Amino acid sequence: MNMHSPLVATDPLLTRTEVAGLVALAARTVPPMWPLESAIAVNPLAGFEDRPFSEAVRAAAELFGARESLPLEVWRGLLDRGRIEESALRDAAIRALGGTYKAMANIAPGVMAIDVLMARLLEAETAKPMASGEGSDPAAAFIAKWCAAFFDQAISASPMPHRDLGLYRAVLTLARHDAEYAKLTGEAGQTLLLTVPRDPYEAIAEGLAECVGDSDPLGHLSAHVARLPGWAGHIRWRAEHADRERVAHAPAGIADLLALWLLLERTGAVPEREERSARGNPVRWLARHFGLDLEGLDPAKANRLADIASLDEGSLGGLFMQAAEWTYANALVPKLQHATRVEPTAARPDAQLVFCIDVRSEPFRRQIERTGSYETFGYAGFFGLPIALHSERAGHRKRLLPVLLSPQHDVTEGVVAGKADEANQVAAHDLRSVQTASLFNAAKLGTGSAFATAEATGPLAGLAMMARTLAPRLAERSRARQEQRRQQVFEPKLVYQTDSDIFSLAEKIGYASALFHLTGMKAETARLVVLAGHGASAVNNPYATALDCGACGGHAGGANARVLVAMLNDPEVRQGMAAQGVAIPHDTWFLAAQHDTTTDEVTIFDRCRVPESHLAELATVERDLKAAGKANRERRAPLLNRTPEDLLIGAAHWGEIRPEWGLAGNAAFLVGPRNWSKDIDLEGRAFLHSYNWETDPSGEALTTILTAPMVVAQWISCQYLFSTIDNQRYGAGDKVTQNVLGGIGVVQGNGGDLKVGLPCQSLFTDMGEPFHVPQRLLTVVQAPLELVEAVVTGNDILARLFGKGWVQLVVVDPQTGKALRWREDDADEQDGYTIRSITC
Amino acid sequence: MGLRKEFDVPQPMSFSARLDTPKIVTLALWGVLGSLPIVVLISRIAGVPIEGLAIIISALTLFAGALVATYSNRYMRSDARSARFFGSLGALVACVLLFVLTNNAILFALAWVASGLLLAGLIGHNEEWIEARAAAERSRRTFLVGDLTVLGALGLLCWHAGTLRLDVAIAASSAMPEALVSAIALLLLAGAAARCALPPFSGWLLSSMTAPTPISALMHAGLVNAGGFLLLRFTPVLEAAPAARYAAIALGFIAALWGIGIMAVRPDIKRSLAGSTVSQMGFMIMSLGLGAYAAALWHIVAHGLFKAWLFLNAGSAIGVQADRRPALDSRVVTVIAPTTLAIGCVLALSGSARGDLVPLLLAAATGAATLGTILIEKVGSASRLTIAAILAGLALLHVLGFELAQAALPIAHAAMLSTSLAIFILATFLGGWVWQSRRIASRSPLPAPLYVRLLNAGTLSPALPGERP
Amino acid sequence: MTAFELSLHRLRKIEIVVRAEDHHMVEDLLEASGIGGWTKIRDVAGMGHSGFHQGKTIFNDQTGLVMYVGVAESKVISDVARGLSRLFETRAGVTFLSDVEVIRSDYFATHETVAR
Repeated sequence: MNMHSPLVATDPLLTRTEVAGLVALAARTVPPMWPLESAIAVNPLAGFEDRPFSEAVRAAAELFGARESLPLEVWRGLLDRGRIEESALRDAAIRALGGTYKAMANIAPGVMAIDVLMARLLEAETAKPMASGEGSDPAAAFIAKWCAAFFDQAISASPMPHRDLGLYRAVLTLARHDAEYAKLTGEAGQTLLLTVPRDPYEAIAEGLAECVGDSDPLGHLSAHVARLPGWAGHIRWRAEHADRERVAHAPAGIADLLALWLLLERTGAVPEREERSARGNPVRWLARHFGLDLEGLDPAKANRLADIASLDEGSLGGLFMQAAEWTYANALVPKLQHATRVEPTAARPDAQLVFCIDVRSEPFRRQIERTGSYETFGYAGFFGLPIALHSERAGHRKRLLPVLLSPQHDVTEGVVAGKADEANQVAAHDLRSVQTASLFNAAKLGTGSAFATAEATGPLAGLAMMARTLAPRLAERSRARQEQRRQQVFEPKLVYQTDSDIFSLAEKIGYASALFHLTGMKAETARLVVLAGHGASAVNNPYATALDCGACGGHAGGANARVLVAMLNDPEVRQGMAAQGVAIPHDTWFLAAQHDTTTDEVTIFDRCRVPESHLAELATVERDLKAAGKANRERRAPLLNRTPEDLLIGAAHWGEIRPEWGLAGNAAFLVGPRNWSKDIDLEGRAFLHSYNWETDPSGEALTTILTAPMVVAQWISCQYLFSTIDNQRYGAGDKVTQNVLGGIGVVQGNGGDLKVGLPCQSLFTDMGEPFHVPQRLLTVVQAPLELVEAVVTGNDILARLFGKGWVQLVVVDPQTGKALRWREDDADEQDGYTIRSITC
Repeated sequence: MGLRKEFDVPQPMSFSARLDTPKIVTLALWGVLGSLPIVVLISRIAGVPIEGLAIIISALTLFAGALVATYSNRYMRSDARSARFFGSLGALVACVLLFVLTNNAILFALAWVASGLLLAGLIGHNEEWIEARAAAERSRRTFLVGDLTVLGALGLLCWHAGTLRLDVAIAASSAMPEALVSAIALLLLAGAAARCALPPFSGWLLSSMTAPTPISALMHAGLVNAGGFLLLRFTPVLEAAPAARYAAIALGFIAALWGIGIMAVRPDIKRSLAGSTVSQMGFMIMSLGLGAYAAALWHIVAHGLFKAWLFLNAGSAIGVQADRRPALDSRVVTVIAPTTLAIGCVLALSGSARGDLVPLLLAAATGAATLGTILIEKVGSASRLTIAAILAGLALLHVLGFELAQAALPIAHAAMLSTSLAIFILATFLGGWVWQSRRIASRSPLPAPLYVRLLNAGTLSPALPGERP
Repeated sequence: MTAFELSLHRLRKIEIVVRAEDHHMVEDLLEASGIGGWTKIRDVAGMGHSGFHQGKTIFNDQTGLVMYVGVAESKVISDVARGLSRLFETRAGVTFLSDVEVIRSDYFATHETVAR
C-alpha cells in the first residue's frame, strides 16, 4: 500500500499475525468475565496460574495495583476472634524463617528471630492500608465510557452508532465529535484520528513501534489490558464464550481495546503507572519495642533484623493466610483420618438424595440425614448433562453446564403432557407482562408520552413501593405463584418437536450411568431417589445469579435434574444400563427437585408422574425435607445476624442486600464416600463430591472429579479469596453505590470499569469483618496414594494447581487412614518427599 | 468516571449506634407521616389552616422518606456509616418539612440551604471515594449558586415588603415595581433551576450516582422537586413578571428535550433515570411558566413516586435484552400526533385553551397511542382487555390526581401567556415523538455529533484541582 | 481412453498442536493471518518432552491437546509461523510446516485482511 520510499528507514513493524499472537497472550492477563445474568466465579488471577501462588499474587498486585493480602489490622482481628490460631501463625512464621533452628537463633540477648517476626505480625504499627488502584485517569475514563456505550445490551433506547464496525473503528468514527477526546489528546489526537490504521492489529503494530520499540511489547500490552480488567474480561467472554448471535451486533476483541489504548498513548494522554509508595521501615520500631541498641548489634544479627524488618505487608499477610489454612486443616484432616474406618450401613435406605457439590448442600444434607433413614450423595449440579435450554420466554438459550464445557445438546422447553390449557394460560400471562412492560418502557421515553406516563403510573408506583417494602412476601406472591405454575406445566423435553431425538439411547445410558460411576452410588438404589439441583431467591439483586448453581452456568439446576430423571425413569435406558452392569431395581423411582438455598425450601418436580405405589414415601420425604429446611434456616440465621423467619422475608424483599451468604466460607473439597464425612460438622464450608475408589480402578472417575468439579471449586475459592483481599480491585466494591450497566454488569457510581468479582456484602459481615477468611482450597481425597499420584501427574491442570500451590491436596489412605500432603514444586528438600505426611 | 474508588475494609462502628439510629429515624418518619392528617385537622380547627400545597409536598416527602428509610434498614445494613446515613436522611426530610411549612423567611432560607448541604453530604456519603467527594463538591457548588439567588430573591422581597412573613411579602409583590419583581422572579427561577437540575445546572444530578441507591430515590422523589415547590409557593411573584415566565418556559422546554435525549443514550440505568428526571423537571417548570399550576403540582407528586420506584428497583436491570427493545407503534404515533396538534389548534383558536393545554393534550395523546398500539399489535384479546383496563385505571388515577392538585391550590391555572407559544411547544413535542418512534422502528441511530454530546452530558471531570490521590 | 490428468497446485501446510486451553489464541492468530480455513482435531494425545499428554477429560474441554491443520500459500503460512513463534515464547506447543499439493486451489484462497 505504501509507496516505496528508500530514504525512510524500514518500519520495524510487527506483522499482523505477530500482533495477533501478542494480543492473544496479553489477553490472558485477565480471565473472561461472564455477564451477571449468568454469573460465573472465575479466578481473577487465572492468567498467572502457571506461576507459584505467592509469586503470582505479587506479580498481579503489581500489575493491577492491588493489595497482596488483607491489611494486617484485619488479620489480627481474625486472630483475636479465634478464626486463626496463634500456634498456626507461629508455625508459619518459623517456616518462613527457615525452620526451628534459625527461628530460635538470638538476635540480641533474650530476643529470638521468631520473637521479632511475631512482634511484626502481631504488634508492629502498620502502614496505612495501601491505597489500591490508580489515581484519576481520564484516559481510562474515556475508554470505559466508550466500552459502556458499545457493549450496552439494551438499556439505551438509542444505541451507539456504527457498532457494526467493531469497537475500535466505531470509536474512531465518533471520537471526532467527542469534546472529551479533544481535551484529552489535543492537536495530536486529531491528527492521529486521520492517519491511524483502521485495522486494530495494524494500529497496534504502529503504536508499539512508536511507544515501546523492541523492548517487551507483551509486557506493555498486558499492562494496558490490566488497566480496565472488567471490560477486558467482558471482551474475552464475548469472543470466547458467548453465543455468536448474541454479540454479533457489536463485534470486539482485545485487539480493539489495545488499539484504543495505544491511540491514546501515542497522543501522550496515558499517564505513567504510578510506582507504589515506598514502604516504611520498621527497624526503628522493632529496636524500640525490644529495647535494642541498633549500633551495638553485630553485623550478621543486624542483617537478620533488617531482613525481618524488610518483609512487607504482603508477605506478612501471606503468613497469616498460611496460618488460616493450617488452622483449618489441622482441625479437619485428623477427623477425616479417624473417619476412614467407618463402615457403611448395609440396609437399604428409605430414600436417596443426590445434591450438588455446592458448599450450601452439605449442612442441608446433614439435616435431612438426621430426620430419617436417608442416604445422600454429592454430584456436580449439572448432573453430567452438557445441555443448553431454549425457552420461549428467555429469548436466547441458557447454557446449563459448567463453562469448561460447550453444550452438546439443545434441549427445548415444552408443555407437560395433558397441561396444554394451563400452559396457554401461563404463556398468555407471561406475554401480557412482557407487553405491558414493553409499552411502559416505550411510553416513558417518547417526547410526547414521557410526561404523561410518569404522571399516570406514579400513584401505582407508590402502591407498589408500599407493598414491596412493607409486605414483600405478599407483593412477591403472584410472581412466585406464576413461576410455580410455569414449572409445573413446562418441562425440558428430551425430544425435539416430536420428531428428532436430542439424545441417542447410548448417550442417555451414558449420562445416566455416569451418576453411578462418578459418585460410587451402588446400583441397588432405594425405592425413591431424589436428584436435587439448586437455585436461590433474590429480588432486585444484580448478583442474584451468583447465588445460583455454578455448575449450571449460573442458573438454577432444576432443569438438569428433570432431564436426568427422565432418562433414569426410562425403561429402555434402565435396560441398557443393566446390560452394562448397573441394574437398578424395578421399584426405584427417580424424582427431580430443586433446593432453594435462600429459603431452604425444596420444590419437587413432576409429582404427577410419581406412581401411586410411591406416594406415601414421597409424602414422608417431603415432610422431612420441610423439617430439614427449617432446621437449616435456624442454623443459618445467626450467621446472617437475622432471625430464621427473616430469611424468608429477605428472599422476597427488594431492599435485601444480602439474601444469603452464598459460598462464603468455602474452604475444602472432599472427594470420598459420604460415610467418611457424615459425622463431621463441616459448617457449610466444604464441597462434597461422592466417590468410591473401589469402583474406580482406572482412576477415570477421580480424573473427572478433579479436572472438572474441583477446577470449578478452585475458581470459586480464588474468586472469594481475592475479592476479600482487595475488594476494590478484585471485587465489586460496595453494593449500595453500584449502577447496573447495559444489562450485563455493574459499575461503581457514574461509570468506569465493569466491576469484577463479588461485592463486599457477599464477603464481609455487617460489622465490616471478613466473613470469608481468605485461604486456598484444601482438597482431601480418600483413595490409595498410587491412584491419586497417577491421576495428578497425568494431567497438566492438576499438576499445575497442586504443584504451584493454588490448591492444597491431602490424600487420606482408605486402609490406614494415613494422610499425605502433596508437596509444591518449589518446596524445600527438607519439606519432605513429593508427598509428605502431616499428621502421622 | 475512572476516578480512584476506594472502599477499604469498613471499620466496625459501636454497636448501639448501628442498632438505634436506623430504627429511630424510620419510626419517626412513619410516625410523622401518620400524624400528618391529625396535624392538618388541628390546624384547621385552630384557624391557621396549612395550605394544600404544603400538605401535599410534606406528605410526598414524608412518604418517600419513610419508605426509603424502611428499605435502607435492609439495604444499608452493612454500611459502616449507617448512623450518619440515617441521621442525615432524617434531617433532610425535616429540612424539607420546615421550608415547606414555615411562613418565616429566615427559617425558610435556613432550611432551604441546609437541605442542599445535607443532600450534597449524602451524595458524598462514601467520603473515602474521590469520585464521591467530587460529586458532592459539584452539588455543593451548584446549590451555592442556586441558594444565593434564592437568598437574594427573599432578601429583595422581604426588604421591599418590610416583613419576614412570607405570605405578606408575596402578597405585596403585585404592588412592586415591575423591574424589581422581574428580578426577584428571575432569581427565584435560577434557584429553582439549580435544584431541578435544569441546564446549565444539570451536571450535579447527572453525576450524583455516587449516592447510595435509596438516597438517589429520595433525591429524585423529593429533593429535586424543591425547585417546583419554590415557584409554586411564589406564583404571585411569577405572575407579576412575564419575563420570568417566558424564561421558565424556555428553560423548561430545553431541559425536557435535552433530558430525554440523555435518557435515550445512557447505557447505565441510574444515569438514564437521572436524564429522565432532568427532562421531567423541565416539563414541570415549563408547565409552571405556562400557568398550569395544578398540572405541575400533580406532576411533582406522581413523578416523584414514579422515579423513586424506578430507582429503588434499579438492581433489576440485569439481563434485559436488545431484541425486546420497546416501541410504541410508529404508525400509530404518526396518526395520533398530528391529530392531537389539530385539536390543540382548534382549542387555541376557539379561545378555550388554558395554561395546561400542553400537559393535558400530551396525556390524551399518550393514552391514545398506547391504546392504538395494543389494537394494532398481535396481542391476544385477553391481553388487550387487561392492558386496556390497566390503561383506563391509570387514566382515572391521573384525573383524580389532577383534581386533587387543583383542589389543593388557591389558583389552579394562571392566564395563558401566549397561545401560539403553547402550540409551538406542543408541535415540537409531538414532532419529536414522531421522529423518535420512526427512528426506533427503523433502527437508525442518532446523528453522531448529537449522540456524543448527549453521552457526554454531565460527565464529572476526572481531573479536579487540588485532588491528588 | 486417456488418463484423467490431475492438475495439482503447490501450497504449504502448517500443523499446530497446542493445549486445548490455548485454542482461542491459535484461532485468533489464524484469523488474523487471513488464511481461508483450517481443520481442527480435538482430543489429541501424545508423548513429548514433558511426558505423556492424555486426551481430554469428560467434563472439561480445556484439558488435553488440540491440533490445527491449515493449508495456504507459502507467504501466509510463514506469517502464521511467525505469529506462532510469539505465542510459543510463553505457551507450550509444536508446529510442523511442509509442502503439499492440493487439487482444488480455490478452497485455500486467502481472506482479504481488513482494509485501511
